Amino acid sequence: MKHVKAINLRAQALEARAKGELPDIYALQMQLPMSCSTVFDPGWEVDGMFGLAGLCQPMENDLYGCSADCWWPAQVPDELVNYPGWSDQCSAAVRDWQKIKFIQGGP
Amino acid sequence: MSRYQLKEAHELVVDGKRYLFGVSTGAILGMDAPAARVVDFLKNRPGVSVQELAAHLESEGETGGTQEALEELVALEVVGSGGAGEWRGEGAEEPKGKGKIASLSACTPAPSHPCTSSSQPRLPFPVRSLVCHIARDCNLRCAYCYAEGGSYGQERALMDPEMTCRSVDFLLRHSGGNRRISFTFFGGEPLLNPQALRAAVQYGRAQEERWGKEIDFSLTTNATLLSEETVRFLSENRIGVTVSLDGPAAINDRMRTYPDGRGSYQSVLPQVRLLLDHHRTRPVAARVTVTRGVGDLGEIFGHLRGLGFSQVGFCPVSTRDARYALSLEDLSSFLEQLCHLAWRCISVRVPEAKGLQEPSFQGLESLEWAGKDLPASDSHPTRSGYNPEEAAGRPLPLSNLANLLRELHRGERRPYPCGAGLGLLGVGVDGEIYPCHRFAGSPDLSLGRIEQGLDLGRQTAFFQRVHSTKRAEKCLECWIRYLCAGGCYFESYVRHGDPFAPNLDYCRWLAEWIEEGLRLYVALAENRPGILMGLLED
Repeated sequence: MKHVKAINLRAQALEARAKGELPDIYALQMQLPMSCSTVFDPGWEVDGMFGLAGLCQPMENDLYGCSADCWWPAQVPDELVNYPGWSDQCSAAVRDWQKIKFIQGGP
Repeated sequence: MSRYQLKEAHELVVDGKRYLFGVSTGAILGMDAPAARVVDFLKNRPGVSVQELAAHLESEGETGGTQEALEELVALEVVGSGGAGEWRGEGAEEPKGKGKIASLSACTPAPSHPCTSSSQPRLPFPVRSLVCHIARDCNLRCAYCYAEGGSYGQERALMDPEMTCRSVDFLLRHSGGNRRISFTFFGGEPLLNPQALRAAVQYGRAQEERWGKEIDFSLTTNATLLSEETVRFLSENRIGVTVSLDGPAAINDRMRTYPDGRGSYQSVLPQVRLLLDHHRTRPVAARVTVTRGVGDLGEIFGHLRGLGFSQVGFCPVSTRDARYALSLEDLSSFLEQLCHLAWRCISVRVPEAKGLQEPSFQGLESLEWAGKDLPASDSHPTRSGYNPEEAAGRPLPLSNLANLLRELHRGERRPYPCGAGLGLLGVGVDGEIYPCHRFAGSPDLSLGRIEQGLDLGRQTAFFQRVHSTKRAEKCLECWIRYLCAGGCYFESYVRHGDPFAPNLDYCRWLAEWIEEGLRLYVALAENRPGILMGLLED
């Protein structure tokens, strides 16, 4: 890469994946560390720190794909354009899941 | 239209260049000027389009490489091309769409707490390390000992050698696909029970081939009972040894005493020399417990290296007792000295490297990130007794630093603070299994028995409590949360009486230490990658 330099192994792995050198799905075939997602209820997986940031890639990508790129718009509100505040009250899904908003009668 | 926003990252500057540490990825990235401009513009701006970015940079007279830099930042997960959950808008805006935004809680009855659901960790988990108390007794009475003179608050006892062999067997049977597994002899003072040590090693070595596994035996000892014969046995069987020793006599003997109050240093010294001279198959490490007043780490480090220990590690005492526990000033002094020691260890190896600067750290202002109104330290102890020349040999002699650099290199992300209760288990003298060796003697945290095996119900209950007690909630804003993962269960147990309580006492300390490690790592990786690789391989 020209502008961003991958310094450590993790960064180099991300770079390799971006170049298509690593198969995306490979992580799922390995013996994952237990509990990359620790809880599944009520429909929200959370990571070891009760957040959404550290989930294993497919889940994470799906969730963010849902809210931004709108390829599955029924799942979660479009956060970027129409409903930017829908998850503001939910910094910890385990604690705050009831505060997650949803859309009634959308476009 | 794609929109972009910055993901959570910790920024640092080394040798005038800008770097990012991805909080959730663990990736360390260097940025050139165009990449840094993109990052700066995206800060605190949710959902920026390429056009907005380009327009802004054009108005600043800077356009070269913007699109390319943005794409690279997206590929390396610093910038999300979507509504990344890590971004929190500055105050919720009214929805612009036709739909009405509503709260889920207003429409659905609240179920029981989410963590009490049927979701369970995937168990059984293959065991990698077993720490075995072969002696619930000690011949020293170190003032700060969390094990209450080696007894863990129970009747003094030794483990039956047969039970030790069964423990080895337990490890072999429950290690799943792990080919390299480790078995640690612990106490109390494990050398009070040489029969169990020998029996277990002989049994283990005989079983290795049958199981197709390699057992890494190790021992933590106060060294008082080492004999020529024992050292020969340790060396011949490639048993790793860590000696608990706090430095020269004047420092060591303040805490590490015999029951009659005599200091242990003089009687330990000949044994330590014997060990260092004759244990040829594994490096020998010293473990220093840092207590109230801290002392001069440079002097301690220099003394122990001078004796011949290949690595020295510093560990803060585990106690609430105000006579020994570290105060805020102590933690500040400890951190400052450790950072300087780390810097010196590296700069000795790489004297000419650019980017290596004296640590910028200037004392802790508080223990927690949230900040308590406590006075900053004004103590700046002198560092004497450390001869940089002797640090020039391999391996990297400060184990705190060696471990940190390895973690940063791999970009580790931890779902749990350690392997306790999963890949790591402790065994008490009576064969009771605990989440780790430090919990021996806490019956409410037993996870089963060696003879019957792990009690999956108890193990599951332990992790349900880890998940349900919200110990990590306080960590949500912290940039080291995927390196620290909430901190040691036992420290929480000692300080708050609850292994699942939030462990906030070392937050600030740990973050500053990791920051210093990042700076050293980046300086080495950028200037002398060959030397860095050498250090990491040690």
